[in-house]
Amino acid sequence: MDLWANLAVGFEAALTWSNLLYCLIGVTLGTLVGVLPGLGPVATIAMLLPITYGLSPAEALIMLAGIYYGAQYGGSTTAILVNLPGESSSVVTCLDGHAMARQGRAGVALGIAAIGSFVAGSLAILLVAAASTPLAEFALSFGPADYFSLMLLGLVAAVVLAQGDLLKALAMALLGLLLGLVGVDVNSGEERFTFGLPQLADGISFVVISMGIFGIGEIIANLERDESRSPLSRQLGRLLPTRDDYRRAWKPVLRGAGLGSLLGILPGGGAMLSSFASYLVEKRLARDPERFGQGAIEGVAGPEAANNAGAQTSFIPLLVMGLPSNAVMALMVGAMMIHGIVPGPQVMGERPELFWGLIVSMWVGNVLLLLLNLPLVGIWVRLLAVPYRLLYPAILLFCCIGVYSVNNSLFDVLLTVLFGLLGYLLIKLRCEPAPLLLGFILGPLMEEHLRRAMLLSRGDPSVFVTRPLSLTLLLTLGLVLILCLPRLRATRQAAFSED
Amino acid sequence: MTTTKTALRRLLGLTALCASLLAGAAEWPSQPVKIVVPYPPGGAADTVARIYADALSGALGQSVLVDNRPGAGTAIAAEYVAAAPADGHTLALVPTGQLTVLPHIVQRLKFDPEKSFAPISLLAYTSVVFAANRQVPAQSLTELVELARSRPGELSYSSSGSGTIIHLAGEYFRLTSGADLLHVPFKGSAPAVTAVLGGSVDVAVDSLTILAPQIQAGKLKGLAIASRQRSPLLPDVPTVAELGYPGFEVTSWFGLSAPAATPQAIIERLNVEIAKAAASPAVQEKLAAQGLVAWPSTPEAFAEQVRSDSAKYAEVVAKSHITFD
Repeated sequence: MDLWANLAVGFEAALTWSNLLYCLIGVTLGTLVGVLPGLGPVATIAMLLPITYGLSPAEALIMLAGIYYGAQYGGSTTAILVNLPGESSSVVTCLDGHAMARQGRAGVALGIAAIGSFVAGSLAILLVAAASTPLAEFALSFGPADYFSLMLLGLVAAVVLAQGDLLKALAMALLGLLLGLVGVDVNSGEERFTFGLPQLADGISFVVISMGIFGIGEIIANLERDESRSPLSRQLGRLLPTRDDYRRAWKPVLRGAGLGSLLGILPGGGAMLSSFASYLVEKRLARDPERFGQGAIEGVAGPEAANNAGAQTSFIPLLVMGLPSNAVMALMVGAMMIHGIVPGPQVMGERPELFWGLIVSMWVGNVLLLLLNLPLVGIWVRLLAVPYRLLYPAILLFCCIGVYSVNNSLFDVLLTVLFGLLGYLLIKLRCEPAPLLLGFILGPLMEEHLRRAMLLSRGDPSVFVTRPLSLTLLLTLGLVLILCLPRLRATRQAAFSED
Repeated sequence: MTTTKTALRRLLGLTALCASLLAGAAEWPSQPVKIVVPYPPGGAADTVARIYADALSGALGQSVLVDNRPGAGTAIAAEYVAAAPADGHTLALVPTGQLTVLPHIVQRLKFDPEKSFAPISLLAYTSVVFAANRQVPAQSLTELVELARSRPGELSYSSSGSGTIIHLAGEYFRLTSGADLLHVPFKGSAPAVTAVLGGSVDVAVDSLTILAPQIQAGKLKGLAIASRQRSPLLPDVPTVAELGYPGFEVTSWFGLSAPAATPQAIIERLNVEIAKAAASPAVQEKLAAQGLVAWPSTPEAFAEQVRSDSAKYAEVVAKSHITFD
């Protein structure tokens, strides 16, 4: 019964006019930056942090949170319509979402993405409200060895998942790992691949790589394409999914919600890993997996549900323990500190109106997003239909401002341009950049946890198979490899038959 | 005739120079003042800078902005301010390790910890706290030392990073007490504390700001605080000195400096305004909410704090072989 009393406190706080207004501003901005490729919620929140000074803590947090989960909705629009992930977590949505758009079912893809996101988001918020305490304890029980095994699983999944050549995907993942090594090593303090540049001492920023490869690289590649193939000329088709679509999609949505909720709680997991994992699961469970990549609605519904659920539940470690699980949550900590709130276990007790108000506002925000995205999707589409000669310079400008604002560093802007060129090269070579990005994010974390696990076990590697959590994850990894072996063989046969 | 003219011209020149100098000091601040923080937004250093920036904006009649330039263990920000024009419009928020630890572990710094900056005032401090996971069979710091002696190579402590003031505090205690504790570095306080909450590491060393909420909520066992007196936030946690290590003190302080050649008049004005701000209940309240205590000082006392801490940590760095190059 406590839950209902708490939610009542939350509704009372979230439904004041000012909080509703900032929630609306947040989700609208979030959708906008989600739709525009290259500009993500991290850069947006970083840019808006100083502005929140004048707001009350509740207004500030509600608005910033809205940007984050709003971007999960917006990101899918761009992914489906232009095959560009507006947001890193929408990478897999490109696969089937864009394929659906090519078949003239863009509207249905957008519809199921928004509905799936809403259902999963609502479920995840209920979960956040009901089970934050026990869930936090589950995440706590993960030791370094367990984290390492989990991330290894995630990385292998990314390679297996990649479209096209398996070897190229592996190469991309390894390149990502190498890029992730740049910077000061956390254990020894040695500099690696920094070429004596102090700007590289903390590694290459995630924003630089993602904006460079996904944003600028794509823009360069798009410049040589014919503009008549742009979304301007594409028909949306019907928005609401058919009965058959619902029949196919409801299970993936529920599974995605569950998977995303679970992975969102884990530090380093969050929305992106959730969408990858969900896609893999759906492809495995499908009776006819060859439809995936050809416009399977399950491949849109599952990952979209998962990334929104993950975005919601990644608030759990922050709200319950005051510990951020990803870059956006770290910025939320910053926002709380600006207002003199030390994030931590005491917030729930001392500021119940803030804690529950934020949680309920996330649900209110999801309702607003459904309204923004379904009937108003035309407006967002028109935003994408702005002529490239206007849109691209604007995006480039936003990218530069965004990159610059993260560290106030001109060096980062130059580096982004370099990665833009690399991104273009990769597109030309038909190398999918998603495994690179995942390798880049997971690589340093894996190394950190591997070395910490070894440090704590005093150099005994058996710790990876003696901890039950780690063992389970490694066994799952083995299973994934066995399941993908047939595909490996098929690729080889295809290669031989070409000779 | 010529000589008179020359003398007159010289006099005029001198007057003009004086006038412009006076005007320069009187006009300051003629544009927004920037406080460069060597960390990203959020966290104690950023909070201290913002609280004082707010108070100084009102007092100086110019906006005082916080400019976050994180990276290279705070070296990027220090090098930036050391090379900035010394006109009082660029100031540095100085965390403890920047001038007292970093120079001992990094060889190629482009600034001199004593000569590149003109100290203005200390701003605030927080103490370093030792806390243990609830499953660790030691109820006090004394028992922890005994446990570490009886089970060598088994106990570990987490820090927010190699070469941070937190790491130095842990090593300083290890060297002082002879307790065998393994240092496990993390990237920042949040994961370091999570690891101890989850039990993969036994002991958490971190600032009062970070650990007080965890200890108050009963999630971690407070063992000791490395300050001269107990903190009102944790009245039951004894000081390390009380427990038989007299003089053991590790303070994480924050100060404000300017580039070395900044005019004395500006330094003095800022020092006075900071003292006023630090005395105001509003500033003290905001700091206290973060586990911080206002600590204004003279420029000389700030310089002395840097010198004495630098000497102390040079020894710890040498004995525990911490290097960064």
